[in-house]
Amino acid sequence: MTTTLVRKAVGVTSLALVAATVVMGLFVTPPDVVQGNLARLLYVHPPVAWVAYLAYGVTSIASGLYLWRPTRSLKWDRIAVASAEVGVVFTGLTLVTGSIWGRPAWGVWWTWDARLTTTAILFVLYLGYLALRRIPLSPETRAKRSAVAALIAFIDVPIVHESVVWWRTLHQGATVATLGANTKVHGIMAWTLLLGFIAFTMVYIWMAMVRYRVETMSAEIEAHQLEAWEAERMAEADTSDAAIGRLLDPGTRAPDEVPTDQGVAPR
Amino acid sequence: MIRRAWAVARKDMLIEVHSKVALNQVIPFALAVLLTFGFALDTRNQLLAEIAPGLFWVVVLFSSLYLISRSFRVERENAAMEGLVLYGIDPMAVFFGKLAALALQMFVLEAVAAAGIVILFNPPVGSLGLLAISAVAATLAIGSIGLVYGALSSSEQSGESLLPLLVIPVLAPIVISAAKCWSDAESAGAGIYDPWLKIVAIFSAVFLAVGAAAFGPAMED
Amino acid sequence: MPADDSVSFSSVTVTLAGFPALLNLSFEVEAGETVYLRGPNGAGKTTLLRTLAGLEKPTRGSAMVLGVELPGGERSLRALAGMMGTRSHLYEDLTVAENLDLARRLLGISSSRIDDAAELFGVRGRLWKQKVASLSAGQKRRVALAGLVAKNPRIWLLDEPHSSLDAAGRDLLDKLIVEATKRGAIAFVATHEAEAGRAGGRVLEMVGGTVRAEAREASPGDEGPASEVPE
Repeated sequence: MTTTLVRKAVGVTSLALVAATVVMGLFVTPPDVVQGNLARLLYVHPPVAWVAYLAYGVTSIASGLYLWRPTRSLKWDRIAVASAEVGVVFTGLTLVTGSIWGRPAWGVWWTWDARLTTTAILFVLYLGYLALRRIPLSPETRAKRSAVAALIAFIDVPIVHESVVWWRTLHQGATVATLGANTKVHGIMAWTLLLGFIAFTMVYIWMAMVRYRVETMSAEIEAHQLEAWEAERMAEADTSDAAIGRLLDPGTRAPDEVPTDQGVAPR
Repeated sequence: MIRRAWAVARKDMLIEVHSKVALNQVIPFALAVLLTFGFALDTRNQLLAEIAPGLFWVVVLFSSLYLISRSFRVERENAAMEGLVLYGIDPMAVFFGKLAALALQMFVLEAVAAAGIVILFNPPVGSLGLLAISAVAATLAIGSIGLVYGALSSSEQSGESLLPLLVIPVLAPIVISAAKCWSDAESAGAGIYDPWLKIVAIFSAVFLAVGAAAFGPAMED
Repeated sequence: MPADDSVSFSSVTVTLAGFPALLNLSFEVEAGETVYLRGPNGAGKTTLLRTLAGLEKPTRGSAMVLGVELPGGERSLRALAGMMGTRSHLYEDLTVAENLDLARRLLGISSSRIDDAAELFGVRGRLWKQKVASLSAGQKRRVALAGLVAKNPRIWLLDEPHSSLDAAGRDLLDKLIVEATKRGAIAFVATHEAEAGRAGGRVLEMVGGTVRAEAREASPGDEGPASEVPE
């Protein structure tokens, strides 16, 4: 019950914080000198991107803890999938908000900048992770295989990032100035940005908790199913014992004149 | 361990010798794709020569996915992989054995595809050594990651169509760096002391190590 | 005391995709015994064989098989066990000779052993250079059995071994089981056939993932009704 309360409290808090971020970002903070109202995406885009990376970090740690024998527990697998799903949503949001920002700021929806490219590959990488989880397997096998995949992804992300950075820099200069360079962040804007980070982090925690709860509940349903099956299997054996008794014990043999379709052995 | 890895490699190569799937299906597929690029992008040779390095690795990567799928399909028939497991075999021996056989098939594929590109699109070739060494490194990386994900996604019910989705994003750094090696190899003064060759070699070492470490947990359930 | 060449299960449960294929199963088998597993479809016979081969892990309970503890020692058990399931484990694209040669290389045994085994099951001649894909089900079974004999396992795990074998093949297999158990091996044979136990040995009646009754056949060839001994 306490976890339910905590979850609800986190949910309410995160919604309130997002609402506060909306008010601060849209109405309280001034428009930017250079980018005008466009700069208000500053309060959304970086926090969303941060949450995406945070989520994958949590997935990696949970996967590592599952693979490490002393801490092996399906709990970590549930945390890994809960976090990865939220991470994929937030990576999608990062790409979308980045595009919305990029179109007026740079004149293009997309540019082969190192960070963008890495984020796009990250998105596909974890879509693959979620697809892998959908192969019908026993919970333990699935947990083990997806933990291996999550750790490979974790090792791969820095490699992807480095390779894309070299790819862009060895042959042409970085095409996009860093996001904050032409946006002076200070005073009320800095506080709103901080609020945005806290708000979206809370949203992440809340969504991951809800998702974790769903995973736990389906595991509970499976456990109930297991009990039911065990009972059924016991009964299988017992009915067959009873049937053997009915058939073989002396005195239970049906006299010839009893019609067989009645199906009940007479006294 | 080496004896058993060799036994596995030999077995996979004999399967190819008998079935000729790589020779009669996958390599012709790679050539067909190259021809299709020629039609689709018109015969403006300049453009085709320019994109040749990237084109080569895209074609090799996609064709290799068929070889990787095939490598696991033969293990699924009659539950043959279970037979290997029943010899108490070390998964590492299976990994290196299958990698050796797969890499050999990929080398042939790459040689044919490279020849096709040079003949059809006519890009300049400055350093064959750079091309060859980078291809060996990239092949080991593609093979390692492919085998791990092949094992991860293998199940009786599904998995073959999942393999490309899993493998392609992970191998993005290899495609980038190997294609850059080829680009550099086009210039007349190119040699094997290329910065991209170092990068592709380091990445390949990492992927090979990751593959060897991850294959065991992926294969044994 | 769990001797090095015996089998003992204590309260073993094996769940497959959440379903208790084996449930709370306990039994003991001594070296040299032949155990026939009988029971309806879904009773857990195949899962028991796979667990004995080290292919499935006990999810609850523990077992000692040939001195190997389960769960945990699956890989070392696999090297000792000889399993013939419903799938042949053969590579369809390889010839009979190549399949058995792979077994020879992986087991590290001499090629004369392989030749003898292949000779015994009659796959040395005309079939030797044929691809497995072109063989009949019974011929594939003979090739698989040749590999099994060459391995000379300490525990024989046979799932419906008589299916698709001809009369000569069945007799040969039965004889092999008798000879192997005489030399201290253990054999588990899952079968639907009524004559289970005609070569002597124990019969375990499995229902619902566990053993419900046990019968012991005193002598080979005895076809009398099994006496029901509740567990």
